[in-house]
Amino acid sequence: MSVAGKIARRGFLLASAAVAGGVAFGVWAVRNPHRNPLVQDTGEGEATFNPWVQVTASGITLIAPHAEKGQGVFSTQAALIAEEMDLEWGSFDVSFGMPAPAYWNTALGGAAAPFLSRDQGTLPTIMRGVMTSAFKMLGAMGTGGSSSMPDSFVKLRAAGASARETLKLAAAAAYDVAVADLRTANSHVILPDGREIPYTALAEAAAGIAPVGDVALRDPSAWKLLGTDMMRLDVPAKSTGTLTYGIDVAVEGMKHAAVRTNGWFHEVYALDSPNMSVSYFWAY
Amino acid sequence: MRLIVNEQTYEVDVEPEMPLLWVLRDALGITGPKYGCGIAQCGACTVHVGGKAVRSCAVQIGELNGAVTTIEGLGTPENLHAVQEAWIEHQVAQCGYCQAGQIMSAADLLSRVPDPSDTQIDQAMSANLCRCGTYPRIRAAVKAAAVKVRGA
Repeated sequence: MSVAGKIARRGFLLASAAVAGGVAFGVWAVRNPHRNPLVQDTGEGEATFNPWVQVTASGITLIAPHAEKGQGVFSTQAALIAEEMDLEWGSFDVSFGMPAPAYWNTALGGAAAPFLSRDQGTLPTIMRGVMTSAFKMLGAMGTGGSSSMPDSFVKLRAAGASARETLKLAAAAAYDVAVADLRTANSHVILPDGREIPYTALAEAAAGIAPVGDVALRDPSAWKLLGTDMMRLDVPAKSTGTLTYGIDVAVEGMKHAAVRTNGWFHEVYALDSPNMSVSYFWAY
Repeated sequence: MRLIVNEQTYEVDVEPEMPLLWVLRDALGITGPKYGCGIAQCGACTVHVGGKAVRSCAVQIGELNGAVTTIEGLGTPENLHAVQEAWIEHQVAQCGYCQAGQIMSAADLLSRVPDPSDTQIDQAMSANLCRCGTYPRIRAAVKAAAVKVRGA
């Protein structure tokens, strides 16, 4: 069947509205997921189930692409994954990851449509869909507008659930037991006889299995982490001067510069040096 | 020019007017002390010189008159100072940018006043600004740290 023949009504509406709004792109491209950027950093015998979870023999890394600005989202993103994945709190690394379209913000586009959030009419709904599709097509990452949790709330739990179920599949195959008889807790798969297999020991086996999709998410009443007071993961680093901020990054050949002023309120119209040229700025 | 930072001796070739903060961050790569305002108004750059809290952005390296301790020298993630311990227990840091300075000021206060009152805490800490507004937790953590320091 042709691609056009597969267009569902909703997708057709989206595409039509997109063209009317000046943005044209294929429905297939809008629906197709972005590729997992972790694949390039995942070696043989190491597993990545989706762009947010990587398990190797030496450890578990969660990707938290929303920028931490003091709002605590570094830890909350990890908690969303850990909740479904049954990870022991703090027994994993969290990384901001790398810039990649897979981390596009699913919530910011809708918020950018010029309508009040309570307006659920046809046009606002269509425009939110169009803006969201545009954010996906652009692979637009972003943190702002209180969008981190709306963006992450379902997809990061789904990422954790998929990783958990895939690790269970790996354990079922390795120990010849039924998946239904397996439980998970504290970063381990628990076999029917009570043996506890660390996720890290299953990385190699799990790497060869297609990640399980469409896992039903747990009811909030079953949550152990979400909704509870948690120790934020970055507070020790922020209390010991060991967190690397943007201003702390040193790049090869980087120069440090500062404006020398005479302490008198004034304007600078031009500054020229062999290394730098600034046309206009204020200084006082 | 020779200086001692966190019990280690360094030799740096810089102009004597260079602020201590710049020497620490740019010449020595010690980035715990943060650049905030550059004019001793915010406290993000606070370090100890000879055991006393100073604004390192406003101390010229040529006028340095004691050994320097930065947040990295106060305690490490594996071997926390009592103030850092209290800071973590009370989950003080939000963005964390000012917290190295806050902790250095608090450590200086407790070394002089082992059991500070609210007023003394506010006086000692009021020149360390926090845009996240963590002040209530800072005060609680200083009190908890005071108990730890007295017990130690």
